Amino acid sequence: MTRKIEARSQGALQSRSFFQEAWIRFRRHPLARLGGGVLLVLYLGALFADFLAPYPETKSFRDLTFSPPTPVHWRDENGRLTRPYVCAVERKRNLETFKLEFTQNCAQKYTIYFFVQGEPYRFLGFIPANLRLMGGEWLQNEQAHLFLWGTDDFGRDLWGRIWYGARVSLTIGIFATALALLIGVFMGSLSGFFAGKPLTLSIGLFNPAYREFVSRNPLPSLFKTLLWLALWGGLAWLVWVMLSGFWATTRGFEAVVFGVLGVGILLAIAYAVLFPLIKIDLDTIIMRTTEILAAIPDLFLLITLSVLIPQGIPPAMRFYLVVCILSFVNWGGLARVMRGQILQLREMEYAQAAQAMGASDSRVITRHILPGTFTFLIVSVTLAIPGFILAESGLSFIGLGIQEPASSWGLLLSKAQAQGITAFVDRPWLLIPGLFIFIAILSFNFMGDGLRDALDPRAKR
Amino acid sequence: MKRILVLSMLALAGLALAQPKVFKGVEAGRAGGNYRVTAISDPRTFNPFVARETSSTDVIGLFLPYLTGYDPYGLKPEGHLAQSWEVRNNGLTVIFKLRQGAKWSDGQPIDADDVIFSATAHADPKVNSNARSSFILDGQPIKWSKVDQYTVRADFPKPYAPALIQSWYIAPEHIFGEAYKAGKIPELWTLETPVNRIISGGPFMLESYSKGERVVLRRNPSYWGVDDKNNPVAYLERYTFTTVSDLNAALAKFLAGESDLYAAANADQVAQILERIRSGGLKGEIFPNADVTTGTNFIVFNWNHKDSDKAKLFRQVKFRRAMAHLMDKKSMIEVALGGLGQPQWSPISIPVKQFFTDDVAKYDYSPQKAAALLAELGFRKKNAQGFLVDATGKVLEFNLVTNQGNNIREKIAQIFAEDARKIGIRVNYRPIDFNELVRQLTQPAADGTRDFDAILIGLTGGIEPAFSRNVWQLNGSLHAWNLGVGGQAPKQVESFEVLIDKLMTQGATTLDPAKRREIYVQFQKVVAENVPLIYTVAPAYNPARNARIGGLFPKGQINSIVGQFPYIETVFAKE
Amino acid sequence: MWNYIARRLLQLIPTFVGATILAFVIIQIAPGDAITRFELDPTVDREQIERLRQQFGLDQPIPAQYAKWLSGVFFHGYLGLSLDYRSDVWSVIRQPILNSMVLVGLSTLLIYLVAIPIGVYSAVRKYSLGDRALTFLAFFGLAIPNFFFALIMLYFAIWVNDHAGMRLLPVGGMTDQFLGGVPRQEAPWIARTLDVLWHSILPVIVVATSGMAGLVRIMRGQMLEVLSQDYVRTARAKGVAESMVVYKHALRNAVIPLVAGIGGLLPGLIGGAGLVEVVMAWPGITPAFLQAVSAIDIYVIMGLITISTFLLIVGNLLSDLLLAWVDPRIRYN
Repeated sequence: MTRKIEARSQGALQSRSFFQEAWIRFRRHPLARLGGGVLLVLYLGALFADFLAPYPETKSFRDLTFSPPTPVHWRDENGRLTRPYVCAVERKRNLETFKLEFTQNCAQKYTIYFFVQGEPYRFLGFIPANLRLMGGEWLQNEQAHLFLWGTDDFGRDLWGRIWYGARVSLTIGIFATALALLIGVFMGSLSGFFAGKPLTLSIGLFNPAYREFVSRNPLPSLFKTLLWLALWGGLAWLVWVMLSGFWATTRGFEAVVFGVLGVGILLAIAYAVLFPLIKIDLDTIIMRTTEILAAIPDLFLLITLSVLIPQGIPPAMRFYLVVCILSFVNWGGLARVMRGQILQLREMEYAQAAQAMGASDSRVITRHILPGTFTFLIVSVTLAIPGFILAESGLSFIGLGIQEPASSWGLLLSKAQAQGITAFVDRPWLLIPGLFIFIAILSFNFMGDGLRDALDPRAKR
Repeated sequence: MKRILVLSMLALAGLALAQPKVFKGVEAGRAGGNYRVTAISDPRTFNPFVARETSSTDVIGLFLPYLTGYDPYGLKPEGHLAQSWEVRNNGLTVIFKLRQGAKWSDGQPIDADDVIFSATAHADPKVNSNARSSFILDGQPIKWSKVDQYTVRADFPKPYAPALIQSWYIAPEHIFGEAYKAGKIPELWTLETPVNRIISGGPFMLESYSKGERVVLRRNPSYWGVDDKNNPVAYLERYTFTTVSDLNAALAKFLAGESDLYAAANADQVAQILERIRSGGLKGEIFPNADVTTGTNFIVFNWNHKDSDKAKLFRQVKFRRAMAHLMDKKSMIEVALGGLGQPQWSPISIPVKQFFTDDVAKYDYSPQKAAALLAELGFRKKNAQGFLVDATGKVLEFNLVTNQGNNIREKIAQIFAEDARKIGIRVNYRPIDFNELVRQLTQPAADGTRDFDAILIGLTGGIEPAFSRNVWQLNGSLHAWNLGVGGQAPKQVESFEVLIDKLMTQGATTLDPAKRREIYVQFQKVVAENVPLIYTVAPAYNPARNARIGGLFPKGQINSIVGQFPYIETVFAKE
Repeated sequence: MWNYIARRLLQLIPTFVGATILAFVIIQIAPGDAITRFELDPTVDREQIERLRQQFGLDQPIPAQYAKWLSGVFFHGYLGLSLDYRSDVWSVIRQPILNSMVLVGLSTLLIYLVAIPIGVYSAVRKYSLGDRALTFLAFFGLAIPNFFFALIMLYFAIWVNDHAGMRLLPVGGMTDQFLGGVPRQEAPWIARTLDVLWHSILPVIVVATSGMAGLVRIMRGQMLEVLSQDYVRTARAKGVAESMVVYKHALRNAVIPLVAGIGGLLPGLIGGAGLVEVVMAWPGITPAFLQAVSAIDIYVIMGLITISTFLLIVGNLLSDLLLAWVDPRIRYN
């Protein structure tokens, strides 16, 4: 009460909401601001990759592989400033040293024009456009080439491919986080909400409760019955296949023990179908599942799953599958934390009140409990994204993620790895993608840190 | 003290050797020193009956003997454990005389019992040794029998030309015999076996093994080899394999002087080694482009396609020739092989001089010629997207796959696909999983159809064309373009395939070298004429060496089949 | 307490079975098996391939294969047969696991030794220049992909050695063949240990930098929280010296979750140092795992997952016990 009175006397301050406060705190955080700014630039670059890149993503110049960055000249022969221009470059392998040599031929100067018509592309995938940042007639006729950051092993422009690759590398983090969050929040909320409130899995056919169950709502009940019968049947079949396969190859004590065990399980299943009322706690199941996922080291799970991606599919599809894999591996952690939060929140008076007033389960979850976890979500998202970016780059680095001719930063960096020491000594431009990964992740972390400080509800006002 | 020990050991060895093998080296060597090479992967086992991969056999070959091999100077058969042999019955019988006095490192003699035991075990389907194919000729067994303690006899169901160069490892019967009877061969000589319990009948014996790091072998003092001055070999005191799974790390090790021999994979690596040598950081030599490697890379089209139109198209020799004209081998060498390599036209690898011929049909890179050939097949017009269509408007289109992870193949495939698209063929290139590729290639459906269009794949080459009969004979399991079901010949066969089949059978059963060459020259011509497999490019062999190692071939004698030295026995460390 | 431990160990079984079933199913969905790659060898015929499949039991129904493996684990403690090495899985994975543990153990030690002081400093001097600089450095380690960092470090080692004209830093690997002129296996154990330590310098630095940031942040947060607690305020009000407040009252409480977290590091130990091992040629788990995956050496994969599940549960149990030990408010239930 006292605070309210004080606030009124301070005028303008009083009207600030929590988020406005947070925004002010965020802006006071210089590193966070820097991170946000850099990310904005990177995302804009990814969005306008076609515009920034002089060449299409997969355009290759086979006789210009591993070209160093094309020198851009600012002065003419007399040393006067002119419009920037480039010269034609010729690539030759020196048969003495076996090194690649690139010689400029400046007899003809090729002026770089800005905002020119270049090779057509589709902006955002559907708007036809052909405006490109740099270029000229000579670029389209291939009289001379403009490789700001050199070329890769196929003679493709690295500058352009970094921006094209940014689309994959930067969005993969967001998509994967979103998906992981979706699964994690869904599972976590289910788990947290239903903890200690078991659901009915199946009712034995001869159980008195079953008759009641069927008579209450005949058609859907019969359908449900079929479902759980199928479940038990499938289980029994699996056990049977195991058992028979086992008997076919094993003799002695082990076969006997396994036989008894298997028959026991089969009998138990038969019993479960006929008599008891079986209830399961969703919470237990979900938490066990996350435990299983956590039990397998992330990298192992990632690698094993990546092998599953069919190799022949289009790059876009591959991208989504990589997203799915990344989020599948990582939803468990989010779910656990969500569950903890929700367990806490559902004991709060307002959630219990809503329940007491007859609100449905889903309404209680979505309207009353989830909003309470909002700040936590924002922070964990910004901090999860860089993890996914790293994971993608690692996967692509060992050849299991995004694949040629598509581009991603991890994939581009793996070319430096494939070159070994040469990459450091003779072709340092191949390391630029690594710098981009570094900068992006750093920025996300700065921003996440700033956000956390800003959104911390306990922060002093 | 040490010297006395060595001397007395030499004296003992000299006494024991009644019939040593003379290893003719390149130059006179000195004893001692460590020879260090890098291996891309660990051995999987030390057991010769279980080993399936070169990472294991490379090690096993250093401590187990074999009867005969090929002589590194003339590539003709020469005796190893067999001191001599005699061919009888028009080549149906070979009688081998073993070296008397040859001993295992535990002192037991190496005699006919060991040879017969090893032959029996290798041939036993229950053992399922990788060398089993050396004991079966077109489904019939080769019989091995003991004549006396130092004489064995092999009876062939028909004459077999490469009979004397099928090296299979001879294992000690006194160690494996019991286990064989009990069916427990795989439990012996695993990586877990203490290395001193693994005995040797070869130039080296195991000294230590640490998983993922290195295998060290030490000179076997009771080995049955000498040099041409009757000094015992091997000269080297130690032979060390260091496992380096990354190719660049292997190069770095060579550059740092931590490994002795290296084969540069491409021009960039050659450049690095040259630079290092020039700057004085490494004392050594490199021979860029000394030879071509024996591996092959080719595109194969599926003649058993589910879609009968495609099968029909792929069976057209004009179509395949058009594809051959689309191979920009110059670009492939520069981009895929990193600058050093040679175009390949014939199924026999270039370094196999006894059989290789350059006088075969060649298809220069010419999109125009390709387009003309396709026009003859009815693909004259282009549709709105710029793709060639036939009279019914069907687009000329196929999928091309190769195994993901093989850099060279991926690049070759991309270059081919790009060029084919330029003249209006819709080639959809994609890398796929190796196992999936093998499944598509080797496992036809019940009705004999397979579902790929085109695959870019390679096979390891070798010195002996008869060893590739699985590829060329009609019922072979790798008759990749036109595969039969269940070990049968394919249903629909072109006449040239029958001819190839016949030539391959003749080549394997003819013993006269000159006649064999004639047969294989004709074989190469027929293949190049009909291009069932469209060959691409072969990487160059660019061997490099550290100057501290002696006994290596001078430049002119290096070849990719034998390598940089004639025998490991006569390699030595100079310091 | 024993009751509690027994209950937790029993929980191990469903998790273990679930994890291995998951891994088994995933591997089975992937095309091909361990034998497929031999099919392209021209000298091997079909019949031989089929026989190999029979030999390894790959021709049996998949659930039966799993059941056999599981019964092997339960009845004999046998992790199965490596299809690639044709020998016991345990013998294949034992050494890599130990090697990885050395690397991860040393890195963890380094992380704790460095991160706790930094975290405390940052919390005490919140928003000072030093705080910002240290946080920035910690973030640096977090942001650089560790395989890229490893690559840079390798090059750095080569560069240093070249300029020094001698082997100051190791260029990959874990051991040397000769130690002071004697073959490794004959050298005294102290020399061998030192050799491994020397080889681990670079990979440990790389692994530690990437793990540092997280711990620094947790430590700083904990410390800040504790410092704002009432009892700290009381202590200060009572005139206790600031250093006493920080080290005696605050640090001890702030460190609790970190102590508890040590148990959680066990599975990290087996997870290995990831791609750093690949780039730096450290013969640890990740290279072994990659090799097993590419050879579809199914039981080696399962074996590694079994061991890691086991360690995870044991690690969590240890965490909880430690937590109960350091924090008297917690009871077993």
